[in-house]
Order: sequence, then C-alpha cells, then structure tokens
Amino acid sequence: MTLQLKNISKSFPGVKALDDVSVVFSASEVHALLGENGAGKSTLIKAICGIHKADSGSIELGEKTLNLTSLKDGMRQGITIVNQEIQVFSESSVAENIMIDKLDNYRGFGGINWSKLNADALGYLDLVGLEIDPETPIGGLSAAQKQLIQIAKAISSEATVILLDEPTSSITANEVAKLFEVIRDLKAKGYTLIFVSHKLEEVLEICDRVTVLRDGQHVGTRCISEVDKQAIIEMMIGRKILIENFSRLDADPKDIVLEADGLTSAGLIEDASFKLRRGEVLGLYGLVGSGRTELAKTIIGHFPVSAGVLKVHGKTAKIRSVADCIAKHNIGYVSENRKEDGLFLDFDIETNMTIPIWKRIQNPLTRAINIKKQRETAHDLMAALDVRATGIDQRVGDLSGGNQQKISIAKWLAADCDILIIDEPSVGVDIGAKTMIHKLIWDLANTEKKSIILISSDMPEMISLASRILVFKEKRITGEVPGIAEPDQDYEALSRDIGKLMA
Amino acid sequence: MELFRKIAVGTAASVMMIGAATADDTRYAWYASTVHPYFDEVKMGVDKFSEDFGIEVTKRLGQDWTQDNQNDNVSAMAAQGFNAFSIFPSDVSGARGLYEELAGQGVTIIDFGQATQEPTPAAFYVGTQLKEAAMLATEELIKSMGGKGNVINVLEVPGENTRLRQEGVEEVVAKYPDVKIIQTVGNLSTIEDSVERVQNAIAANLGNIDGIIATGYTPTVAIAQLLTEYHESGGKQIHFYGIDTDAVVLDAIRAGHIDGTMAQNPFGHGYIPMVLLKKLAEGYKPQDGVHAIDAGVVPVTIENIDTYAADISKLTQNIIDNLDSKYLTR
Amino acid sequence: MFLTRLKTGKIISGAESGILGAAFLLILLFALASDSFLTQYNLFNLTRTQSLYVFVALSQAVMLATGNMNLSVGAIAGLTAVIFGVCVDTLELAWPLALLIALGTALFCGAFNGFVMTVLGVNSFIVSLSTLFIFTGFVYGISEGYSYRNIPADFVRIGRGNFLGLPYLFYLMVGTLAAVWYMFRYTVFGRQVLATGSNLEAAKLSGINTDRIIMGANLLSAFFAGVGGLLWVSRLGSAQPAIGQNWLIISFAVAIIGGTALAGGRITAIGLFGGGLIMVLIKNGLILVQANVYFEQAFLGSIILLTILLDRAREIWSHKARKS
Repeated sequence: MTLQLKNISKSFPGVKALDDVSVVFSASEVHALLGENGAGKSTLIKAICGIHKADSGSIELGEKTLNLTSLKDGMRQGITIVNQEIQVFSESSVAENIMIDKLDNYRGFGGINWSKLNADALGYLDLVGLEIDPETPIGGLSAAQKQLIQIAKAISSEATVILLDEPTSSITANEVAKLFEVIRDLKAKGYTLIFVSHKLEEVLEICDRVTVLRDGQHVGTRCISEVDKQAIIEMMIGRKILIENFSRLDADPKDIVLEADGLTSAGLIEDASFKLRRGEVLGLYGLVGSGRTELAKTIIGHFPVSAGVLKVHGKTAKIRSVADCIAKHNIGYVSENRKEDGLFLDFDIETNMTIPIWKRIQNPLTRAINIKKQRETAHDLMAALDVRATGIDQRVGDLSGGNQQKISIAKWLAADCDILIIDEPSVGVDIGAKTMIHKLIWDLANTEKKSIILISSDMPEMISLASRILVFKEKRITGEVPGIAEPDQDYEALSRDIGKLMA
Repeated sequence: MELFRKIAVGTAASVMMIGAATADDTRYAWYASTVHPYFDEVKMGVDKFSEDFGIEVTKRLGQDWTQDNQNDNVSAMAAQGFNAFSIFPSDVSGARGLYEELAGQGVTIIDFGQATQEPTPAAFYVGTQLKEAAMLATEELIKSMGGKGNVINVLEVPGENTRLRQEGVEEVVAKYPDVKIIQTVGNLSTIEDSVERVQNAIAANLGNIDGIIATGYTPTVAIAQLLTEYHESGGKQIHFYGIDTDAVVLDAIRAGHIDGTMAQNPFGHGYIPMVLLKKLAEGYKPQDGVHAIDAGVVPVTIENIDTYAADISKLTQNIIDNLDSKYLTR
Repeated sequence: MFLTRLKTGKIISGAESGILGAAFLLILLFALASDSFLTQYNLFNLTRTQSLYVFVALSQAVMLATGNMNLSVGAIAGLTAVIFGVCVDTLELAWPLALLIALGTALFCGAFNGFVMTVLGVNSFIVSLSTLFIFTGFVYGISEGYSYRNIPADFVRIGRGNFLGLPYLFYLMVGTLAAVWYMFRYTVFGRQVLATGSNLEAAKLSGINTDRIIMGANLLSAFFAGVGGLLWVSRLGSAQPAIGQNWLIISFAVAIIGGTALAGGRITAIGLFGGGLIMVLIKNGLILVQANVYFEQAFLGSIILLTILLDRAREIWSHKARKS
C-alpha cells in the first residue's frame, strides 16, 4: 500500500528536527531513507511508525489518513519497524516471539494450543527463508536470524509497510545476501519497504528509489538508476567534500604527554602502543568493538590493565579507577553515550559542568562546595563554549544534542584536564553544532595546547580533525595514517588507506 | 548410597513408631515457635515435670513464628521417633495439616498456649481461655474505676483470638450501664505502633478517659510505659488492666501508674500437658466432650504482686489433682 | 534577599511546597474535624512521633538517594537498642559510653552492608534482605526476647522532655534535617551521593569513587537507624528487642511521601519533614475521627497513595510547563 507523508514538521527544544517533509513510499518498492546523523532520519522513522507525533502535516496509508498514537497503534494499522534494538523475549521460543501479540487466537480449552501455534509460526518462518525449529529459544540465535524473525512477525501481523532500520549493521555478508533475498521476495509480494542504512553500496544494490534528508529538510527523492554514490553523498552533505579546513596543528614530536607500550586489557584491547604529543589531536578510528573505545576506557582506569605500560608525562602510571585518573593524572573522558553514562540528565547545567571540580573548590573546614565559584565556572564555560540554554540552572535533559555534548566537554575543561579523550563527539548533534564542536576541539589543541584523543567512526570528521590517525581492527592497532592537514594529503587517498587497514 | 540411607532412616523411624504404639516406648517432645519470654516460663513447667517424674523431654524452639517453619521442624522430630508432643501452634488454623499428618502416624499432640481450631487432632488444649481472661480483666478494671466511666479497648492484631477477647470485654461492659467503650484501637502488632496509636486515642479523648483495657501482650507493655510517662507528667489518672507479667508491666504496677495485669499460668502450660501426655500413654482417654483445659489467670495488683506466683502454682496443682475426675477416663 | 530566593524556588522547591501544602491541608482538616486535635498533649505527641518517623525515613532515604536500598534498617535499630540495653542494664555502664558502643554497633552493621555491596558487588536488595535476618537473629540471640528496663533517667529525659512545649526530639529532628539539607546541598559528599544515584555510570566516568559513596551512605543509613532505635528506647523507657519491627514499610512510605526518588538522585530534607508529618497526621487523624479499626490499614494506604498521586500530578504538570 502507498504510504504518503505530507508536509511533516517536528520540533524538539532547541532544534527543528523535521521541516516540511513530503515523501511518497509506494507499494512493491524498496525505498532508501538516507541522511547523516542528525539529519532528521530517525525522527522521521519515529513519526512514521507512531512513536513521535508530528507537529504538523499528515500521514496517509492508502486512502486512509493515519493519526498514530503509539508504536502499537502503528502496528495495528500495518506499519512495523524492524531494527537491532527491538527487544525480543529471549527466554521464549521463536514461535512465541512471532505470535506474541496473537496468543489470544490460539487460546483453546485449557490453555494455548501450542501445536497449532508452532505450525503457523513455521509458515511465517518459511516466508522469510528461515529453517529453524519454531520451538527453539530465541536467545541463542544470531542477530540476522532475530531480524528475520522480526520480519516474520511483521508479516504475521499483516503489516503492509515494513521499516528496516540499519538492518545490516551487525550481520555478515552472507546473511546480508540472504536478507536481501527476503526483501526482494517481499517486494514482489507487494509490500512497501523502507530501507534505512549508512551503507551506500547496499542502497544501490537493493533499493528502487532513494530519499535524502539533510538538516531536517527533504533534499530530494531519486530513482536509483539516476544516481551514483558520489551523487548521493553530495545530496547528504550538501557540498562536494565535507572536509573542514583546519590548518595543521603544530605539535612537537618530542613533547610526549601520554605513552602506551603494549597496553592490554584482556579480551578488550591487545598490545596497543602509541605516543600522544602535546597540542595534537590523535585519532582512533575503527568499527564499533574494534578496540578504540576499549583502549580509551583502559587508559582512564575503567577497564583493568592486564599487560603493558602506560606513562603519563614520562612517568609510569598505575591507574586503578577513573577517580584515580582524574585526581592524579588529569585525564578527562567524554563518553560516546552522553545520555547513558556521560551526563546527569536530571541535573542542571551548573552541576553537570562542575562535578569533577567539587573537591577542589570545597572549603576544607565546612566541607561545603564554594557555590559562588561553582556558578562562576559554569557561567564562564557556558559563554566560552557558546552553550544555548535558558541559564546555568536549566535541566541538561532538556537541551539539544549539540549543547549536551558541549557540556560533556566543558566538564573536563572545568577540571583543567590537559589530556582529553573525546569519544564520538558528533553523534546525534545537528550539523551546525557539529561544526562548532569540531572548531572547539581544534582550538583546544591549537591554542590551549591540550592533547586530545579523538575517537570517531565518522571518517570525514576524523580525517579533517586528527593530526595522526590510528586504525583499529579486531582489538589491535593495525596502522597509522596522517590527517589531511598534514602536507601533501588528499581525502580520497587517505580514506583508501584507512579502508585497507580496517579490511 | 544416599537412597539407602534414607530408606534405612525411614524404616528405623517407622519401626520406632510401631514400637511406640504397642509397647511402653513413649518419647516426649516440647515444641515452641521461637524465642520469647513466655516460652521460657513454660519451659520451667516442662523441666519441673521431668524432675518430678524422671522422664526426659526434648525441648525445641523454631526459627520464626511461621507455620511452615514449625511444620519442617516438628515433622523432622517425628521422623526421629518422638511420639508425644506438647506444641504451641504457630498458626491456629494452619497447624491442622501438620497435626493430621502426625496423628496419622500415631503421634499424640496437646496444644499449649493457644488452641488449634476445631475439629483438631490435638487431644487437649491447655492454656488461657482468652474470653474468660478478658472478661475477668474487664471486671477488675471496672472495679478499680468505681463501677463507672469511659473505657478505651485496645486490641492486638485482628484474628480469632482478638475477636474472642473483644467479645469478652464488650460483654462485661454491657453489664454496667455507667461504663462505656468510647474508642476501640486495633491492629497493634509492634511496640512502636502500640505507643503511637494508644497515644493518639488518649489525645482524641483527653480528659474523658477513665480506663484502658488491653488484652494483648505487646500493647500492654507499650501502655504500661506510656501511662508511666503520662502520670509522671501530671496527667489525670487513667486506670489500666493489661495481660501478662512482663517486668516493665510489673514495674508500672509497683510504681502505681497502672492498676494491674492478668498473670497467665505459663508454668501450668508447660507442666499440665506433659502430665496429660504421660497419662494418655498409660492408656487414659479424654472424657467425652472435654478438650480445653483452662490453666487459669490471676489478677496481679499492688497487693499481691509479690505473692501471686503462689496463687498460680495453686491453679496448676488444682488441675493436676482433678485430672482423673474431670478430664480423663480409663 | 531571603524572600526573593524563596520566590524563585531556591529555598523551597515545587515538590517541597507540594508536600508541605498537603500536610497543612491535613492539619486544617483535622483541626476542623476534632476539638482534640490542637491540644497541647496531642501536638506534643504528634511532633514527637514525627521526629522518630523522620529518623526512620532518613535511614532509608540516604540509601535511596544512591539508587540502593536498605531493608535491614529496622533490624539495625533493634540491635542498637538491645546493645544499649545490655550496656546500661546488664553491664551497668554509664549511658554516654553505652550510647557510643550502641552507635558503634550500628555503624558496624552499616559497614558490613556496604562492604558486601561494594567490595563483593552484591545487589543492595539481596544484601540487606540477608542482613535483615542476620541482625534480627542477633537481636533475639542476645536478648532472648527480654526487654532491658534499667534505662537511666537522664537518658529517658531525651525522649520525654520538652522545651517550650515541644519535645526535645523535635529540636533534634530539625537540627538533623538542617545538617542533612546542608550536606546534600553544599558538601561534596552529599552532591556525589546524588550524582551516584542519578546515574551510576556517569558518576564513575566523572571520577567519583562510587564505592566510597555507597559505603558512606550505608554508614549514614545505619547511623540514622541506630539513632532512631535509641530514641525509641528513650521514649519507651525500656530497650525492647521488638523495636524496629515495623520500620521497613514506614521507612519507604515516609521517604517516598517526602519526595525521595525511588530510582535515586533526589532527597529533600524539607520534604522528609513534610513526609513524616503527613504520616503521623494520617494515623492521628484516623483515630481522632474514630475510623473503623479493622479497615484502618485500607484508609492509611489510600491516603498515602493519594498523596503520592497528587505529587505525581504536580510533577507532570510542572514538566509540561517547563517544556512549553
């Protein structure tokens, strides 16, 4: 059935996530929905499947105007989302997971008619090409299998629109091929499929049309035959190359602030050796789970060191806990999950910014924190980092992603850390804020002479900001490439080199 | 191996039980729910029995007040071959399952302290007749109030026992036209609750209260202490009768802050059931229609506070002397 | 200065004013419903019980603030009371010394809870459920169920005396709450407790030694429980092993009515004052209006639920106001 979005707009405090977006998703079509982080893609998905309600505009499915109130409501109307994060009931069987919302239909005399339920489930498993016993507990299955089961569940619930949110992000190439078979099959049967992915090769392979969002706006919808990878990237980033022109950081190769030699944390990072110079941005690049974040968390004492040596300012450092790391070595860590383990969302800006310095500004006699100093610090940082908020007493949970990220960084600036580890700084922030955060990081290294370890899976961000980039693969450092600001580098060659080291 | 051991133990236990039923091979046990001063006093009666008759009685305490705990422990004792039990049932209705099981194995049981609900496999109940005790206490209180005035009735946790006590108090008050129950306070399971609620009740009726009656142990202890404070700080006199002889309560009687308390006969609760068990093992049977044996209560006031123990001993002796005529038959 | 801060919510927050408002409403209601409510005797006892409730609630609230709980608060109180009883009655020690020994025992209990939670990493529910039994076992093992009666008159005066018509305990509570207010507002420890409760992972990654914080909260919790137990001894005039038996539910109820977040990260001294007051008012009021004794618990539960629902409604409303 045709799903038609008409003039959808949606705002959150501080950011306009969707601005007058109109798209038509047809039946028997695989339609790619693309955009960078913060382009409004996930907001649009949530609006389609009923999690968010648009501020204005309408959604029509076939002849009917939808007014969805919840994910469940969306499912009732035939719109289902399939993604990695959707919870499966891992102790229950495959059949139960598929039929969980239809158990009422199987209620017989004295309980559920299991044999009928399992037989029906088997039918749906066939449809997605899964050859497994419906009574198997789902917990032990692979991510790809779980995803196919979600699709089976969607079909069983008589969905007509299926949203596939990053379906290939954690499955193997073989499984991708199998998934695509199922997708083509569903397309032939008349389903409307919306395919959300970062992997352009896959989009070109499986999709019929592609819609690109940027900064909450609809950039365009094209037939796949009309575009190539370069054209899509241009639509997504709005300019030919998204490299920002930061000039070269002048760091003295002999001025080493942090040095790791064979650093290992069993099962997380193996044999990592590198040197961090004063005033440089050292990039750690690799896939999620390749060891980059694990290395960072080992340095700060969150994971135990099982072998190797870490030297801070030339002295061997035994860091036992994060508290240790901050108190003794002044290393700050900006978490990649700022909402989960970086910020205190219920607390105000002032508190979030000053947590690491409370001990320093307390009155030794009364044990009280110097509130005046705390406030001044927060005010200064807010001005310095241009945080947009109603005041230092605003609740951090109510701020936009970009402003939250600035606060995550600000807290370590308050602590006057000279080594700063920043993990995925631009995830979930809008494009303007992203540029500002990049500028901030570069300034910190250039003018403040901070030494920064930057972790990112955003290649342009990495190449334009970092002086040197360490590439990670399977818990090891596989090589080093320079950043684009270094002499005689070009983006294409660098990204190729990085790609090789990751392969 | 383990299985063998279990079978062996099981066989041994059943052999013992069969033996008990046929020969003069009675093994006596006394079981109480958990540590409590009341049980200490009951135990003295049991010890006296052992001393008087030269019969060994194994005494056990459980870990808590639940019936489950009691079931586990008592069943284990029965498996060890004990076949004559004096038990304080943790739950007066819940204990029945355990009793039926034991009776099925030929074990004789007597309730002490509180009675299991009838019909019960227990041969006898020896303890305080709650309603009668409550009535006696109320009579005493009204006497101390000069036959007129307003009374607050303080009850423990809701249940069968509390209902009997409440009835007892209300029936007696109904006999006196000049006495009125102006408030009933209930659900007092803990010391803190008791203090708070009774104090609230006093506040609610301040200047209008002539007496308080409590028929549970915890509220009695609480009220003894709070009336001590109340009278010490110059409050208008409030008469009070409670139950049990906790040292705190006796202190308050001595100091004149409360009038009296009903002393139960825990010694008798210990002594009498053991004698009965012995007689039953010798072939006696309960007389028709006789189940409950009132071990009696004695009002304790400033006059008899140092001598009431003798009165209680007399109660026990009296019952023992009349066992054959009033309760047992050959 | 003071007034402007009051107006801008710097001194009393919306939540706190809601709780105090509810308490005030109850006072008004009962004052109109019963002549006996505003008597000196009733007010004296109301505030005295309120003070005791506040100590009970504090013992739970400091743990809740860290995102943990302590089911053993009543058992710690009972043990503290019994140890104090043993010291002054059986061993005939001077009561200030006995006080120190008893509070030392309480702190030891807290340290034990904290040790198992932090060093061995066991969930607080499981730890304190186990120690609830362990400590209760010691209470009855030591006392064998008997109470200790020879409590020095000087000590009893703490729980029974008054100053300007209000019980000493009331002033003790106000002083303690002031200290608690100060601690959670100004001191590093207090603020770190809240941060730990609000987001444990973020607290760790912010360099807070969360194990130390949780240990500290356990010690404080046990300290308040111990003080509460001793104050009951002082009020009763005897050390009863049964002290603390009904604390579990009260500690949660008063703490939550008083605006402590179950999920951690929030505690307010003024709220706890109001929470304790609401609790005593409800119980007092039910007896004043002669509510049916058998249904009393149903009334009590309904009023607690109603209070919390009102607070939730206020919160949702203020959340909406903030968003728009």
